[in-house]
Amino acid sequence: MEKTVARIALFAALIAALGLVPQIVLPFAGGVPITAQTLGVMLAGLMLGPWRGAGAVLVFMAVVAMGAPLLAGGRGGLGVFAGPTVGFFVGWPVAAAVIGLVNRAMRHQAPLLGGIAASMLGGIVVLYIFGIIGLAMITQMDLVAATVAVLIFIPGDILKAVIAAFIAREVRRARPDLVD
Amino acid sequence: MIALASASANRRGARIMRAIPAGLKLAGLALIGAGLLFVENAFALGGVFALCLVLAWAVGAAPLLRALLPPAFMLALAFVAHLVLGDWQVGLVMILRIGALLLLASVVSASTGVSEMLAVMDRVLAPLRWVGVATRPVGVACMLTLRFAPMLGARWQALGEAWRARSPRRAQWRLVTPFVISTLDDADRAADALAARGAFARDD
Repeated sequence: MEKTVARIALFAALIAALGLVPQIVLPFAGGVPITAQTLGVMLAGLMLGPWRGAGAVLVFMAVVAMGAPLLAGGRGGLGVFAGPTVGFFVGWPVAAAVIGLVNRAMRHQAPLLGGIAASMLGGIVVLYIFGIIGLAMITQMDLVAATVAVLIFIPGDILKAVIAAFIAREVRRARPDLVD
Repeated sequence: MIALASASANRRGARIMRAIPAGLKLAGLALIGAGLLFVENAFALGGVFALCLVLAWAVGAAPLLRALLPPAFMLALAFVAHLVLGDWQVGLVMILRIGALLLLASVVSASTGVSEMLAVMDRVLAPLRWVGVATRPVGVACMLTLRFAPMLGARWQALGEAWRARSPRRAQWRLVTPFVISTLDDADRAADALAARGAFARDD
């Protein structure tokens, strides 16, 4: 129990720490920042498994909602839930759960490819569905316009999925007892 | 320690906002947020937006407004999109409503400490406790996260310094795996310390 709680907190903190990696803000994409934080979400799903991974993301979200400025760019507080990126934020725990589930199913056949596929399916396909719907709802754009606005982030997220899978494989080699 | 987003303490407006109980502020925010969704009149929304601006100014606006720049930029862009596509009034209503909500939420966050928020969360989770679900781990996990976050930064720096002491080359990606593994070990040690102190033993 204590171990689970500590690891969940660790990955929540890891998502926070990745927000300190300098971010790139693309003005023409509506100011949605490219951050390393999605990498943390992917790692949580890959290494903690679906439920504890989602738990880590939820803990991170709770701490941000309570006002800790841990979101990339020093943002935090309840305003996040009223902002245009709320869909991505809300989609994070679901993405972590999907990543964990897919990875659990594929890891034994192909550790690296399975990790990449899981990260892409959860961290891109599932997450962007949430993000696009959120963006469309908040700004009252239609879904097509919202989709076009976020397409610019896909290449960076593919890169993050590959990096996450590599890190997860390396860490699992060093700590084979890390059950998910 | 992490510098928490906070209003400037010496302003009168900030002191008043701080004095209001956290639960009341959060409930008010939720109610106003839900209510704003039903207001379609641009003048009424403009009035609410102006009120929120005044409130933000009263609690010490500068750091608040800076944090709101990225979403504000995004809203402006969406407004332009509405302008081009035809119905600028839809855009105006959208920008006023979301803008007011963003300001209000930021004011509540800036005037409420994390410990107060944790207390509110504990009360919100109380019904789970009545049906026998342990809620203490949730609070512990949140506090641990706040403690771990700066610790991770320190760990990364220490690894970087150790690398530079050994090698003239740049570390680049080589430190990532040792970083994750060592922090996992740190978390396990923290778990042992928690267990030794009976962290969840006296769950009430």
